[in-house]
Amino acid sequence: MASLRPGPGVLVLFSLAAAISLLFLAGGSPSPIRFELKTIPFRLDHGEITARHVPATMAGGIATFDYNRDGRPDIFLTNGANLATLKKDQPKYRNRLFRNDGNGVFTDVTEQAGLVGSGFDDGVAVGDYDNDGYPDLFVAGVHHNTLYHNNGDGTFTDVSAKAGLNKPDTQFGPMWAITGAWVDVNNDGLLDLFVVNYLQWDYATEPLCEYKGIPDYCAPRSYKGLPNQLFLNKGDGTFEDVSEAWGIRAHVGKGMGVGMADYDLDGRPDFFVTNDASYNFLFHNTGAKFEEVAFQKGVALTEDGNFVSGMGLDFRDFDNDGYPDLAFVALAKQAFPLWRNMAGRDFKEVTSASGMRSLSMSMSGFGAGLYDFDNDGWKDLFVTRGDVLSRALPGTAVDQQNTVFRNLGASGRWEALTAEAGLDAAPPMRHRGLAFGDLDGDGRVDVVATALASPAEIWMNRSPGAGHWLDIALEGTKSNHDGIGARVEVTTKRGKQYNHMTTSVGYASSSHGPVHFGLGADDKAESVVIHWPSGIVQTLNDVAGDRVVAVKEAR
Amino acid sequence: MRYALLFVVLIAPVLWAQQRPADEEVLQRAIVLHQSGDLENAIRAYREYLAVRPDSIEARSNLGAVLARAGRYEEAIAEYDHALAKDPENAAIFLNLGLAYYKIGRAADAAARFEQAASLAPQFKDQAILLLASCYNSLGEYKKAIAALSPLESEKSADQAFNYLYGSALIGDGESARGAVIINRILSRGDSAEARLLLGTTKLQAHDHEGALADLEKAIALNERLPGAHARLGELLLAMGEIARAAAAFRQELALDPTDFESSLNIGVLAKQDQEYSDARLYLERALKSRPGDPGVRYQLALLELATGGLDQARKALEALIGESPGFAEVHGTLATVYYRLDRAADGDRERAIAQKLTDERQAAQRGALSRESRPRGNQPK
Repeated sequence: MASLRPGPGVLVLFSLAAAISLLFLAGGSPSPIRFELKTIPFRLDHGEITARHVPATMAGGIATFDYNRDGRPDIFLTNGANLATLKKDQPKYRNRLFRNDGNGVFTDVTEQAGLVGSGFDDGVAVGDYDNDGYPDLFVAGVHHNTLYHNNGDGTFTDVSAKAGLNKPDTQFGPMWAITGAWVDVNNDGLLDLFVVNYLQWDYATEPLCEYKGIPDYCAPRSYKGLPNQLFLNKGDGTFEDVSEAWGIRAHVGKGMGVGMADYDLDGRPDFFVTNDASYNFLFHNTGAKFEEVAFQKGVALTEDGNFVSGMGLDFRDFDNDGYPDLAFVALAKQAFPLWRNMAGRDFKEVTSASGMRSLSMSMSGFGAGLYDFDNDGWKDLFVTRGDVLSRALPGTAVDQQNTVFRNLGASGRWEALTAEAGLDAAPPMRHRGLAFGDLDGDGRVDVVATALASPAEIWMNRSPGAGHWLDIALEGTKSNHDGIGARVEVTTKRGKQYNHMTTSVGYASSSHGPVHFGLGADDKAESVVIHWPSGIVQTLNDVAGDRVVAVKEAR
Repeated sequence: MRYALLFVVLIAPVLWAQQRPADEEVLQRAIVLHQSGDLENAIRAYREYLAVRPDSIEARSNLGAVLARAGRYEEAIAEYDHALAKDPENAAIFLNLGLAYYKIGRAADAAARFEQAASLAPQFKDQAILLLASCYNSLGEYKKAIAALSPLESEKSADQAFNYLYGSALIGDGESARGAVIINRILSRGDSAEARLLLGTTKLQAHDHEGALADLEKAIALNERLPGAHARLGELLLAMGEIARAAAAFRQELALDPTDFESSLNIGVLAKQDQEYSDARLYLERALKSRPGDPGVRYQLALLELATGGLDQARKALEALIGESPGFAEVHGTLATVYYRLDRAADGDRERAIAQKLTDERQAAQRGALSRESRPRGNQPK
């Protein structure tokens, strides 16, 4: 292994699993992906009652983040409430924070952390909005959002009122947020907040939908949509709603997910928003305003010009050409759309050409995330599966098992692995959120998933023969502390690959891990180039793999 | 769905008295060859005769018939048209012309000729109505088929072909209860491929995929050449996400009937999704030939132009579609994309706004219907 020659601000945190990685045989066939099921004592209580109320089927957000900076990702899970009152009036509805104590031990520290919550919570977004080094939490919910400041001592404080993030809208009243994304939209070093809103919903007036006389959840067409919101961080603990001025408010949708990436590499972060059975949004950042360009770039609708129920997504480069691509999931008979980014000009849908249409046509998905699970240098796609309805219509499975789609590399094809990957260890369920992180520090990315009325699942990555790896943990100085928005280019003997720092991935979920790269047979990176949001470009040479490398932004 | 037809070619054995003996011999020879199945020599003999007597309606009509029997439908159509130009009220020729169009999948053209035949000659009416209903079914115009067939219901209830066509029309139009009566009528005479196909179609429409699969597979087991059975199986497999098997089923249907609309359309769409653009164009154009002007196929062809970089062709196709179907929201949305890519931002904005407005209106209408049907929520038990 080549010696590490750190560049400015580089610190080797730890080197684990090298022995496992050395099992990888250079030139051998790609290793299969395998997961082992573990559980934690959390059940998602989503408030489902006989007469179905639609928020109950949309619950289940997760965050993986190292709240106490001990080097191990912890797990936060949102939970439902009594839908009639939107209050957590029973202990079963508590949100949960599980501290990762290592060796597979997770301790419930919710009460002492002050994260029980009070309303019906859906999504969560992790970001260090005040640049104090401790990641904070934005929790999105039905008619109620919460901003929790991480005090750095294991506790959190609800600062929503001070921050100004929870005011009823003058036109739409209290809104229903599914999730949020922390991004520094104006590159001033402070994380701003993008909030994804779903539907106009009211418990008392919601229609009652029936299928063959049995109540079930209404389709999105039964409700009016909502605009998304953008809050600029003023740097003093308060936020300003700039949705209108920045061109967000004009676009009413039925938002389910948001992904962040600089798709045209102009140095400014852009957003892709999936809408449920409506046109998707691609918000292009011009520096002082967003222009919605989904039609121009060919991502408003799928290739057949049909609406699909866009759910969770990821916005990352899956073909290693340096431009972030799009993957999101939808319901059965719609397939999971994949779009290749054509050098920032527009997007080309490859759902069929990649084989994804055939593989996913019978599946319903909620969460999606692009991570390299076998560390072969190509990002795979993990999907939490389950239908939006609670009772099976003929021809549709409501309860489903999760699936990982293995990226077969330069061929552009994918392979679906369910039982093959060990994901049949849990029964079929209505899966929802998912988040990612290396929970045991072995260099293989693990997965946390939720399912309605079911225990949370931890899928420990046990992929045999996984390749070498490299995690880049960013610390911004001029840029935001988390380095969200930074693009990272890694070069090995076998070529280049790209990723960027974002916590917006999955469905209603957030993953605050380092930027992960699988190196395959290469045990080092010849170079690592980081394009910080500030514009600073930082290069590290001869970076040994199988470790987390902390990189502080050079000034 | 195509009605399996055996059509009888009307051969005219009558000769004109004033014909010269040599010409008469040629025509007699043509008829004998025709009746004996020596089609190529019959065609040659009819043409020899028509070279001398180009105005002979009977010889012209017979030539059309023998060309049709040889599968040369386009040539047959030309001969029938020629004959009708001389005898525009000849119901038998209209019927045969309709059959020729029917065989090449030009159902709309066929329907027009069958309507003519039925109106000109009452003796052809029953046959023409069945053919007409089959055309309407294949054009997806189920209400017209029902209107044509329902007056005959009492007199033809024992006719399995009639029941099959009528049942197909009712089920196609979503009248499942009335369709079930017809299916039972067919089943009362024993299990049959046709009844299974109708049952499978009904279950497919009700999203009962497992039930539909059993019936459609049974239909094919009973008669693997039953028109429409493979196409329906293909649609079912597509709905089940079995894309490769669906494509195989559509191809089987096309092997039996190269003009089947649904199979051509679906194979075309699947080929487009797989970025096999020349195949996609071939099959979509075939589908358009089966249903000329079909907006759905034309939209797919416009999307194909867009996918292959033919922005201007896509623009023209979409603009034409909007001229005829201004309420087709998806077309406005795609046209917006085309305008943006042609750097016509203002036009793109306009089309996008129209697409959004139409979509909002559609969803509002659905919400309205829903609220009329919905029950008030009371205190619900947990």
